[in-house]
Parts: sequence; structure tokens; C-alpha cells
Amino acid sequence: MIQAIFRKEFFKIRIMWLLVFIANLGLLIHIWISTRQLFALDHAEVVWYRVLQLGQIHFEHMKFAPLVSGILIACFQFLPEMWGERFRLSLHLPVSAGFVAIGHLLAGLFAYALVGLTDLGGLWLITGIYFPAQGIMVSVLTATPWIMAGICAYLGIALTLLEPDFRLKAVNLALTAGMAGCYLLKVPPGAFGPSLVMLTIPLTLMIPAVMVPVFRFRYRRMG
Amino acid sequence: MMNRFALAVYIVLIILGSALYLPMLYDKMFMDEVGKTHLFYSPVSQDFILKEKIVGKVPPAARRIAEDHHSNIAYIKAGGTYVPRKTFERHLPFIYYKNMEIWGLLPITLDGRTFDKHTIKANRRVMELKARDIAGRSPDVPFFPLLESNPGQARLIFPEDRFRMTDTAMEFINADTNTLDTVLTKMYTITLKKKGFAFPARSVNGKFTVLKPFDEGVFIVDHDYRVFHIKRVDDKPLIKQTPIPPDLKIRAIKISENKQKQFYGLALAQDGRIFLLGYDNYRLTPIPLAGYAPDRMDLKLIFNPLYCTAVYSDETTIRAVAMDNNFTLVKTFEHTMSRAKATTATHIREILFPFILKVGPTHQSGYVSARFLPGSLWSLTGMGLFSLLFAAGTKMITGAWPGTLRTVTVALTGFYGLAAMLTAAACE
Repeated sequence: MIQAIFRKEFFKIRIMWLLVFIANLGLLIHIWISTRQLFALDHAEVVWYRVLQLGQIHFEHMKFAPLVSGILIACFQFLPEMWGERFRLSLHLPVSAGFVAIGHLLAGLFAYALVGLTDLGGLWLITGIYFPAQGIMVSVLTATPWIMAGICAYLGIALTLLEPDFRLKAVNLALTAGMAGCYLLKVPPGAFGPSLVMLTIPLTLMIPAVMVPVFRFRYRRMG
Repeated sequence: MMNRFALAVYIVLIILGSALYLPMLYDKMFMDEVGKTHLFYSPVSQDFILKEKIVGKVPPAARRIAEDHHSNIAYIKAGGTYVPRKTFERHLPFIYYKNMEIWGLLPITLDGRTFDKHTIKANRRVMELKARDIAGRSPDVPFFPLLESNPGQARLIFPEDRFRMTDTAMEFINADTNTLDTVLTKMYTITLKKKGFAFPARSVNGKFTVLKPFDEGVFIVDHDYRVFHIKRVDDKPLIKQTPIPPDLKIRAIKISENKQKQFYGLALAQDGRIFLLGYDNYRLTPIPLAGYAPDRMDLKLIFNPLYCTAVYSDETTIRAVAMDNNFTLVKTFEHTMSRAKATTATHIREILFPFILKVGPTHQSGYVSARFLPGSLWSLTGMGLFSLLFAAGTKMITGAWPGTLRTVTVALTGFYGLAAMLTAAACE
């Protein structure tokens, strides 16, 4: 069944996902060019000083990209399902509604993970060209919470879009914004390092929480 | 079953979100953000004097003498007497020496010695060690420049390489090529080992900037807590093992190059004692601080031609120790800062919010952490009130009393729980 859901989701979002993926690749190229330009305009040791010591983030354009990617993937996945209540068909399959919803979420999270990991991997490669291992480590530690913000945004938008009642949609959107905000705090590079494991807790909680609107939708509780 | 579990998790998320953001919103609307008190030792009155923002009602005495400033900014002598701003500044001629000059009060004679602007300027100095400056309390990249201490020109410049301390070597990486400089690495590692350095290093301490008058290199604490002074002079290593006793287990050294060339900076021992690290064969001069907790307090040493004042504070209490030029204790002072005062807004916040969640760095640590801050006894009132409100409201609207688990949730989480239950009710 999971395979079937993944296949259905693949056909549904493949073009839009590809656009998101290409946009992220484009952003990585932009970061690479900007970083190269930093070294062209100034002495390498001065760039190292600014980035490794003063905390200048040479890839700051990336900060909101995972968040936007998560939102877009959730929209591409769940908006068509909610138009004309198509998702109701899936939820009436002879398997539990929870299983079907989890299948959809896993498919979306997998699609997002491909984008997020590409961002992290690309950043690793770009930073590795110009900075030593310590620089790569701090860059990845800085970008990881941004990637987590994307997961939060994906799950939060799923929570919002699947909710049939508009008042609760607003509550869920506020909840999503609040939770995602925790991963996008303006702090020095690498400051999230020790708290990354703890910050997986809200993401883990958001997966079962999405079942609330799913069941409400399934049983036509419109508020 | 899945539905109930999902709803429970959803409620938890709403409580978490509320506990994060509602107090933040409340604070922005009703709480006054108050900075720390400024505390000094006056060489004129030979007593402490302070400046602070008054939280709550401003005493009439403070309002009366507030001439050219807001009355809630108070200038107070140690005895509690409010003074006008100009009197405050006259009590601190070594800090406000520019105003003293404009007012025609320089040169000034104190303790039988006369001080003009130049003497004051030459003998002023401030050293600071904040809790978040201690190694491991803030994110930093363990990759340091070793500046040329004899640059042969007026300005210091960054070298083309930086070093990192590995388990076995002092590795230099060239910035132009982003590759290991094997020559420098071998040169420094071998010299360090010859001098008895035990890898891996515990901390690397220095002032890593070119915006300083000269460079004194770095102080590295080795695995056996011996402190090594490492400089790059004419592109060659100049390494000395200092006589600092390893049993002090030096935790941090805050270097601050200064033209006076009397002290390299401050050294913090494992047991919390703080020392001035002198140029005189790395002599350690203890600073007599009572109740200093380096992990939660910021320390500032203010030097002037007559006295050195150590001021240290946590979030609520500020303490100071005045010493003479030989670092002999002259006077101490302790003051609960105005910012610690609970106001009506504080009590209402405690009633509304039985606890607060905070995600972010603190004054003591630059790392992001999630903190659970419990309320006070006032919170119990709020917890009771919200439980009653929830139970009575549910009974009135539905005709039935709410379930025990839900009531307990509201009792424990107060306003957050009530908000979560209202949302849950809308879901069902």
C-alpha cells in the first residue's frame, strides 16, 4: 500500500517537486558564486576571519529556502487533495485512515528530504572548497536547524490544509509559524549545535498531530 | 485510539507553543526590559555609587533631584541617598574626566596626589570576563590566527594561515590553498613537544583581532593543565612554559593587550578563583571576590590611578570589591538590582503562566537551549483559577463536568491548558 501511495504522490507532485529542487540547486550555485566572489574581493585570511571568527554567514541566502520548499511541497501535495475533497477517496480505502495519512506524509517528507539533504550536501561541498573542516562543521550546524524548519513547515502546512474548519486552520497556521520560528532564530553560527537533538521533539510530535485534521476530515467534522 | 492519541499530542503541541509565545507577547506589552545596574567605587567619597533604572514607582526623593534626566534613572550613593547626575559624575572623576575638564575641575587632587587628563587616561583600563566568554559556553570555531608579534610596521595584520589544535599536533592551514602547511605544523608541534607540551590542548586563549596596539600571542592550556605562552616572532615560534601551577587547572584566560604592559589579562581557575596574569614572569595576582560564580556571573575590573574595582553580577544581584593599587581589599558592596523587583505586571504574568518555555541563547551561554522556567507561588492561584474556570465553563456549556485528565492538564498548565482545551473542544 505504501508503495502505491508513493507512486500516486510521485505522479502528483513530480513536476512541481522538480521545480522546487531546481530552484534549490540554483540557490546552491548562487551561494557557490557568492562565496567564490568573497575570496576574489578580499584576502583569504580576511574572509576566514569574517566567516570563522566574526560569524558572517556566507550562505545566509539559504536560510528561508528549506522553509519555503517545505511549504511548497506540502501545498503541491495536499491542495489538490483538498480541492473537491479528493483526499476523501484515499481515506475510504480498506485500510485505516491513519495509515493512508502517514503514507502521504512519508511520501512528502521523502520528497522534502531529497531537497533538504541536497541543500546540506551542496553546502558541505561549497564550504569544503574554501574552508577547513572546522568551517564545514559550523556551516552544517548552522544550516541544519533551517532544514528542520522546512520539515516543520511541511508538517504544519499539512496540518493546516487538511483541517476542514477555517478557525482551526488559523490556529494550526499560527502553531506552525511558532514552531518553525524556533528553528530560525537569529543566533551566531553553530549556536544550535547542542540543542539539535532536543529540537527533533516538536517535529516528532507534529506527525501524529496531523492525524487530528485527517480524522476530522474523514468523519466530516466541519466545525 | 489513534484519534485520541493524536488529539493528546496536538494538545501538547498547543501547550508548548503557548508556553513559548504567550509570555513573550505579554512581556512585550507589559514588562519593562531593564538592564543591569552600573556600580562604581568613588575615589572622591571613598564609597560605592550606582546608576540604575528604577522599576515600579519612582521614590519622591529620586524625582526631586532628577534635573536633566528621566526620574526613573536614579543615581544613588551606597547609603541610599539619591544624587543628581552631575554630582554622580563628579564622584567619578576618572570615568567622566572629559566632563570634569569641561567643568574646569581638572587637574584634581585626591589622596594627596594630583591627576591631570593625561595621567588619568594613561592609568584607566577595563577588563571583562563574561560568563558566555568562557570556553565551551558559546559557539566558536576552534581555528585561530597566530599573529606576527613583530610585524615591522604600525598595524598588525592577519597571517595567511590559521592553526587548530588536534590530538597530536598544532596544525596550520594556509588560507590561500586551504591545505595543511606542513612546514609550520612541524615547526610548532616539535617546538611545543620539546618544551614539554602534552597534547591534546584543553583551551586556546588569545585576543584574535588586529584591532589592538600590539600582539602578545596565545596562551594554550595543555592536557596536564600547564599553561604555554606561544608567540610568532619573525615567523618563528617563541614558546615558553609559564610557571602557572597546573593544580589551579586554568579554565580560561582572557587576554587583553594594553599599552600599560602590566597584565596580560585575567585567568580563571577551575575552582572559580580569578587572577590577574602579570607580565612579571606570569605572576598571578588573586582578586578577592566573595561569591563569584563564573558560569553565571559577568565580571568587570575597572582600573583607575588609585583603585581597582571588581564588579560582578548575576541576573538579580550586583556585587563589587574595591581594591587599592596593591590589590588589597578596601571595601565591598552588594546590591539587589531594581530589575529584580516584582511588579504588578510580574505577578499577573505569574498568575497567567505557571511556567514559561524559552528557546534561545542566555546571558550565560551563547548556545541555543530550551529552558523550562517554573513560576512562583502566585502561579498556584492562576492554576486554581483556570481549573475552576474550565470545570465550571464545561459544566455550563455541556451540562457535564470535564474529565479528570483534562482538568488535571488545565490545573498543571493554567492558561495554556485552557487554550489547548478550547481548541480540542473545537476539534471534537
